[in-house]
Amino acid sequence: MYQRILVATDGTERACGPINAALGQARLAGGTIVAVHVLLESPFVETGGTGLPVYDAFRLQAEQQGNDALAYVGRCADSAGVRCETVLVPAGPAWEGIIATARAQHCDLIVMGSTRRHGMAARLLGSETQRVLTHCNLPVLVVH
Amino acid sequence: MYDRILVPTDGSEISAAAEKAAIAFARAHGSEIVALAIGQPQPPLASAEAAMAIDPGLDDEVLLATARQRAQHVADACAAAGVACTPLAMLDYAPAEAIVATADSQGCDLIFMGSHGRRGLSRLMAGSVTQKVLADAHVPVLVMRPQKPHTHE
Repeated sequence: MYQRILVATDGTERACGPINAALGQARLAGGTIVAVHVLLESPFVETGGTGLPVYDAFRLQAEQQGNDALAYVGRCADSAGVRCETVLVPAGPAWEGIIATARAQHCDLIVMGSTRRHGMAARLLGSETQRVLTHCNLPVLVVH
Repeated sequence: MYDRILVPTDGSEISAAAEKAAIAFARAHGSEIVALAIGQPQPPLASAEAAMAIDPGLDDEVLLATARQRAQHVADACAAAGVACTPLAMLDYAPAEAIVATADSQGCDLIFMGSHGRRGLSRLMAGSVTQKVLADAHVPVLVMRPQKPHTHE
């Protein structure tokens, strides 16, 4: 079955379902999971030149969060006995980073959460998942 | 991991590709398949003129027979692959809702379906039925996309 399974993590508990599903798939076929975190985009308008300390502080924190998120997946994979590779993707739209990584890493399955919301938006799928589905030809496992 | 996989089929090419992938998946997981074919009946007629134009091919019995055939087609493919399969056929105005409801009533723990990649504006939507299933399903959904990429990326 699927040998290289990309799982996207935002570092929150919402990624737990997708991580477990990806591990399950990988264990089944002796596959590898490729954990991906797309760095959070800076909310600041950067005007070039030397950045204010606040830019660097944001970037550092985003990188820290990303590394923590990936390290968590690595630990999950270790205890499940599954090979895991991690990719920290530069800040940008998450769906683009996910699709680009899936192609570059020759993944054959993408696992994502659905990030369902309450109220009116409950019927809408997470927008990143939506865009990955639209722009990528790989099978996508959507886990709630 | 997944014991009972719901495979909705609409007889299209992408649905056939999804069925094939689902059977391979079910084999690898040792799961059984519930093949679901839904016929969409004509909505109640608004006028006598519309009634005159009714297409006998959309007669409920014909629709149901076609749906049964499609479900049986998947069941035959499953049998050939040694995968247990329950074929189901039904008529429903709202296929997405029927898929979600069947997943629940049949105790399925995964829905495995194709999504039509359309051109132009509607390509922005991953296929309206898949869309609704993704939003409403209580279990994971594996979406197969068409394998030939469209020209504009």
